[in-house]
Amino acid sequence: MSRCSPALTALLLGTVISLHAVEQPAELDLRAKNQPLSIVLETIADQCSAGLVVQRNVHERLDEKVTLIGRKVTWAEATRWLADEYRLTMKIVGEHLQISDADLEFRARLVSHTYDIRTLTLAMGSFPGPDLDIPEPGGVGSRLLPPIEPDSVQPINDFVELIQRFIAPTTWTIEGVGIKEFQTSLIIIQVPEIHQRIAEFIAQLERTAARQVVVRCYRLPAAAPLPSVLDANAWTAVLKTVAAPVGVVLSSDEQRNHHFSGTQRLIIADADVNQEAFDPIVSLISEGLAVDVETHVTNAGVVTTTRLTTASKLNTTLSVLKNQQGQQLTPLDLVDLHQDRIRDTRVIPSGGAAIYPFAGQFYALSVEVLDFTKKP
Amino acid sequence: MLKPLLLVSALSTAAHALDVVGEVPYLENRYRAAWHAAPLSTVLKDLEKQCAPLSTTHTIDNLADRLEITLIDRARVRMRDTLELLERTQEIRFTAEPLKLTVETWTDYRDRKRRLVNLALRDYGLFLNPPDFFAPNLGYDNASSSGGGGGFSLFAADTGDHHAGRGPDPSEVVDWLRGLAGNADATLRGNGNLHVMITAEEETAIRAALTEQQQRLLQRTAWSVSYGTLPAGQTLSTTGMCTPAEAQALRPRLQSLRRLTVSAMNGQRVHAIDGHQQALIDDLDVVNYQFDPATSVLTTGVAMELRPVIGTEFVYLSYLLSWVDPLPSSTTELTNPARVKAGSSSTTTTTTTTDLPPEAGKVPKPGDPPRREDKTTTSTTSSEGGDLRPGVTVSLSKPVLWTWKPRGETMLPKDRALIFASEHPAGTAVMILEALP
Repeated sequence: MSRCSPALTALLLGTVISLHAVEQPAELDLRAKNQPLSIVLETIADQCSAGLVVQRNVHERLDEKVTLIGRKVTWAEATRWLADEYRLTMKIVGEHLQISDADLEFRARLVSHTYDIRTLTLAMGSFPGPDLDIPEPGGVGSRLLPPIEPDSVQPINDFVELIQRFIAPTTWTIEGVGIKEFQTSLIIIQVPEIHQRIAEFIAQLERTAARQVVVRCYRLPAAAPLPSVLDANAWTAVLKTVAAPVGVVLSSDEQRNHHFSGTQRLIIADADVNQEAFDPIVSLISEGLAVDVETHVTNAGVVTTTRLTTASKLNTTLSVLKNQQGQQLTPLDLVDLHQDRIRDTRVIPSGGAAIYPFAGQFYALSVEVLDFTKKP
Repeated sequence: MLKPLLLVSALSTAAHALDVVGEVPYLENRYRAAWHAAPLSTVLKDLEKQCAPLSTTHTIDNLADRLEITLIDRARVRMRDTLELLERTQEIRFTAEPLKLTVETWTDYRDRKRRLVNLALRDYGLFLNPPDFFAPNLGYDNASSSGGGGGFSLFAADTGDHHAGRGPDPSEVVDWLRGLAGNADATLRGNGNLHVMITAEEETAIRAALTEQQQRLLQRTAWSVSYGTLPAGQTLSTTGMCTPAEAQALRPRLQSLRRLTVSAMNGQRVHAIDGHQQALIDDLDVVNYQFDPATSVLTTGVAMELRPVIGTEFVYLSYLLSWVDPLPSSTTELTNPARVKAGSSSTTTTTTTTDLPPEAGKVPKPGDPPRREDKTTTSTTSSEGGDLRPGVTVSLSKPVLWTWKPRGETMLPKDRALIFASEHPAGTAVMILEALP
């Protein structure tokens, strides 16, 4: 009885193993003439040296007759053909070529994730600044500030539509896939690679919404007259002569905001006669600097609508009303206020500044655009 | 990070292994399947030959001739592998026991495995609804409203506690969780306990989803605002949005430094104040010919009110920072002088009736009305005239305040701080708003 040498045994064993090694071939040979699709799939399985397993509920599609001649078809091309024509997927799992329903395969990979998009849906308000006028008793002038003007809220459904329209639009009708509002956030059930695209999309929207403008107000030392608008280079040279800003405003693109700082005091602005007595009307008066800006970033620069007001040199004269007997009835504070005011709109280059001459002084409003869409 | 969800559907069969009860030798038998679109009944007969007597459910019996199976092996494989492959691809479940092999549909198997689970949703912060805390107003918000002035509250300065309205609708929660559990039977009871019939796998999936919600709801941020002044003439080159390092470098340069810190849940409005309250008479009314002093409370100092909402790369931050310093103030005296009260009078009217004698020359007949005369007397009496009303003098406070209140809403990158600056009687006032770890 002859015995095989160990080397021969190893060679034979290796041959047997290699005969059964499942392998995804680089190219496939696909030929069929009016044959059921199932035959084509068995042919592919043979070329992979693999068994074949077909997922439930796709057998009807395997009965369809196929005629094709494909030589040197890549695996990717064959996979795409099956997906496009028959909504089937094909992949090697273990020792088998597994044929599955594309939608079912898709559903098997679904995961749920919550996206908190309140940063995109919160209404951004406008914050107008004060006028610094002497208040008119009984009129709105005595208000320190006009009311805040809230913008409209961006409906969360707008984002649902955006996501469904631009991120994998054909997948949203697949059973199991979903997008739903929950507690001001979105719960989305999708496959991981689409979740990644959604997350990046939302982050991109956030970066776009985050564009802001920093407006700084400086009081310049008396100097030679400057142009009404300075570009970044010219402003940088002027800025070296200034110690610190007198006001800073941070506003989002197309948002109105203001800076006000100054002195406020109560005055007896008026008196009404009430039940034979004088009823004093107390009001509030402010002096200081108010910078109210509304910015709109464009390619040419920042379109800046400015409401710049200074109120200063406040003098209050006390006037006293007396009766015929010389008795004091009521004092009144008569206010003498110097006010400078400019309301205009200028296009200021980012990094540059607008110059405002005011009663012998120069004020500069510099703008800096914070754009987070441009990655470093 | 994405949290995988075991979607409770037929597809979740991918997540299981074969159920084996005891020692089952036939699972190690080797078999080469060759089922080309074979009916399930044929497959089951082959399995019965290779394994053990089959036990099938009513649903499987109904499917036996309708379900086709294609499974072709190129070599003999372990019966365990064949059964697991069938489970993974045909939505059926096997339970292998030494003397029998039970086969059922995935739905039957799932329903059989479901048991009552009590999920305490409050443990996941689902109904957490921390209140919003609006900061009280510092200094003047608007003119006093005695007769003139708008008299409205600009910043809705209200120290009352308000809930932010973030609590979910219980029915919305139940719908969401039932959806995760394949429309399982679920009831929400008091105290946020959800009683639901689910499998262990479904429970794992639901708890994973709840944990994700918990992480979102319990996100917390801490913030600090530093208030101080730079002496006049000192340079301040960094304002607006800056790095934490720049903010850190500026802080030691500030004089009279005060610092407030708060911590906020995601979306909660919080505030902190370092203030001084003073009661004063700053207005008068006239009531019943007399001065009626109106007392109010004036608060000065520094305050911060923040509402952070955490986004992907940014924090949507609503802020109202206040800095109000008292300056030398004045008072004014108002006098309501002594005067004589106006007199008052009363009028009395009296009517008297007198019976008259018969008219001369006429004889009264029975039934004639008697002759009478009405006489009315009116008299006016003056009373209380000449009383003296005493005079009143009231001292009215007219405080003078330096005020600066930057406010707004910003999308703040998570690695940035804000620096605001303003003129101040002592030089340049600076506020640094930054996130704390």
